[in-house]
Amino acid sequence: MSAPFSMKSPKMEVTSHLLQDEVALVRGCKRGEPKALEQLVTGYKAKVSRIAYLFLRDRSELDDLTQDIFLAIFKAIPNFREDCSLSTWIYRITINHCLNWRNRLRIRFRKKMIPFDQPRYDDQSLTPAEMIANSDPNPERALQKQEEITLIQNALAKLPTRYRISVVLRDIEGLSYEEIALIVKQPLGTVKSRINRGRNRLREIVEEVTRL
Amino acid sequence: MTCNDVTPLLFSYLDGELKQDLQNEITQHINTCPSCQEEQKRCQKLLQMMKRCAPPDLLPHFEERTVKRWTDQQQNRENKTFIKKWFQPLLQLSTAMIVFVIVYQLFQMYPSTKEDATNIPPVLTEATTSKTEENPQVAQPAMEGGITDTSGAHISASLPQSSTTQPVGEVSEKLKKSPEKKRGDIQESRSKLLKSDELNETERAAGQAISQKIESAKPEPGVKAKGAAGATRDEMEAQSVQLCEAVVERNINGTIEVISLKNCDLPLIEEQLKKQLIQNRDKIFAELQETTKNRFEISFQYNIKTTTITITQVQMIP
Repeated sequence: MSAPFSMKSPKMEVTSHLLQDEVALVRGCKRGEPKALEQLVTGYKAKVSRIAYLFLRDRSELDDLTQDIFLAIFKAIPNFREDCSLSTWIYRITINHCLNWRNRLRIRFRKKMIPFDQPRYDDQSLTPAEMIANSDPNPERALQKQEEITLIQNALAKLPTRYRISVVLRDIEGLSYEEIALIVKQPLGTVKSRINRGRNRLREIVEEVTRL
Repeated sequence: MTCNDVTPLLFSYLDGELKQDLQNEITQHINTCPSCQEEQKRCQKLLQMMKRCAPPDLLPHFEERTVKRWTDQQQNRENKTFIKKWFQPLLQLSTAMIVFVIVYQLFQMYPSTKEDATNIPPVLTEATTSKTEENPQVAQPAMEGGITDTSGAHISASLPQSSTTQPVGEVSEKLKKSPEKKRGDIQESRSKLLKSDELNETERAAGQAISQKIESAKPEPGVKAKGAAGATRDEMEAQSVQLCEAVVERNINGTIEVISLKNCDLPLIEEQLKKQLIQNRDKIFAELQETTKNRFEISFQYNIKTTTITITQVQMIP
């Protein structure tokens, strides 16, 4: 099972693309300093978990999957050539790890004859406690908001992976087209086209569901 | 520009990713078209919904747990490396030792006599068998007494039965098939050995080694040798002495030549006999006339164990 995006870059003289704050953080992580590692997790856990969340069947696995991704990051960071920004590199690892994880899971579920690609998010996806925690002061608005989120998540789950990743990176993560092109290692035009197609497909799915 | 042209480009329009001319055209169309305005609102709502689509928070102390899991993993890896570094060579060494011990034990299990028996020159074993097959009545006393009156397998006959059982059996089988041919071969090889004048050190050593093997293969005193027709060690001792005869010619210049040997198989006996005769020349030939060329018949005892020759009788052949 190969990673969809190659982590290796051609051998050339590399100038660091890191920000000033990131340099010290990355060096500390390369030395395996627990404080630096903790700082890295604090800074990127939201981004990593947002991506991971889109690949999950079961919400309870989010914590484990995010942890696994960070362990993969810790393992790979000594080989980080600093030829792109830290966030781009982390996104790349996250997406590769999630795709591999999803493929492994798909094989496992295929053996058990359970369809994996069914929409995963239903009304029971949030526990009452979580709903209260996430809720507005107005319960009706909170419920409507939760319904919207479930709707989008189900629609995203139906999108082909290549569209989903691009759309999520653009519309949920708010990354620029150039950054996405670096992460997925595709030309800018391809990325733009994928995002546009993905969004239109997403709109169709959402409209289909709301009409019903 | 129609609505169908505008709708697929709405997201890019909202992103501001289109060329300025196209962007302006779409703005103009949306301002005049209510359905496209509605479509634009839907797209904006969808994008807003997606931005709100945040995952639930991770469990508390996520950072500490993750780093702890990482350090534990590293610790385990180091432990494994340590085990691999030290335990693996030890395991390999112990495996090699076990294999060595097993192989050594296997070698020990095989009796050494079997190996000795296979090392005895084929002429000796074959001679024994030929004798046994040819005349069993003669062969049996030969094993007990160690003396025979005809040329043949005297030395082998004096070996303990246990050391020669296997080859004898095998050769006997062969002889049963073609006894005449086999016997002829044996006689030929024996005569070749006797005729060879050049006795080198290797042959001498071989002869001594055979004597030693015979000695080592002997059973404990008082214990009857297995398959040796009830012969005790004393009888075996008696068997180790062999009565032989030789025809010797003395030249005028004093050199001695052995013409023929009887009851002897080992070529080193000839050499030894020559030496013995030269050393005791005065004693032996004192009574005899000094002629140009004399031929003698010499009877002597050959001790296989000590490889010594004792001359018992010297007779001049007319």
